Amino acid sequence: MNDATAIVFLTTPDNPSGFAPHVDDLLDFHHRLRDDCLLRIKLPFSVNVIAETAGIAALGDDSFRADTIKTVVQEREILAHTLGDMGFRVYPSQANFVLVRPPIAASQLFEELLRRGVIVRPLSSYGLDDYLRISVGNFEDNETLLTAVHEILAR
Amino acid sequence: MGRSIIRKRLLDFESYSPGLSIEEIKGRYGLSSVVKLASNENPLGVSPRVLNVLKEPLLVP
Repeated sequence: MNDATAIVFLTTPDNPSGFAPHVDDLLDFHHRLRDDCLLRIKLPFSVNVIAETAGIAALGDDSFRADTIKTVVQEREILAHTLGDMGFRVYPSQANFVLVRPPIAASQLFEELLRRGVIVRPLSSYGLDDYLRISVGNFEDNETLLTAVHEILAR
Repeated sequence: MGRSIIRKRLLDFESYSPGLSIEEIKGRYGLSSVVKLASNENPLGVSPRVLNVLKEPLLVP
C-alpha cells in the first residue's frame, strides 16, 4: 500500500442499504493518511450503537449514579488530604478528579507510577507541565495510588 | 503522498492524545494488575443495569 494513492469517501452511517458500517471498516487505506490526518478531525472517542445503548441504560440507573457520587465525594476528600499531607499542592475540586502539583517533577512521578502499575494523567498537552490530574478511584484504587506515591517520595 | 488532497489547515495541529491503556502498561512493564485513574473512570466501574442491557442482542437500525 505504500505507494498507492487513495481517495476516501467518509459517509454518515445511515446509508441507503440500511445498515450501519463501522467507520474502521471503511478505512482500509494508507496508514499515514489515517494516523496523520483522520485522527485530527474525528472525535477522539467514537460513539457507536453499543455505546449509545449503554449510555441510555446508564442514564436510567439513578441508584448507581447516587452511589457513584457518594463514593467520589467521600474518596476525593481522603485523596486530597493524604496527597496534601505528602507535600502536593491540591486544588479544590468538585469533580471526579483532582488537579495536583507534586513535590517532585510531575513527569518523573508519572513515569514512576506507571512502573508500579498506576496510570494517572500528565497535563503537558494542556500546557501544565508541572501538574497531574488524578481520577478519584474507589478505596482500593486510591490506596494503591497513595502507597505507590509514598514509596516513590520516600526513596 | 496525498499532499494535494489534504486540507492545509489540518497539517498544523496534532491529533488528540488519549491516556495510556491498561493493556499497554501491563505489556510494557510486565505487570499483572494496573490501576487506571487517568481518563474519567467511574470508581464503581460499570452500572449493573448497563451490563444487563448489553447482554441482550442489539438491534442495529
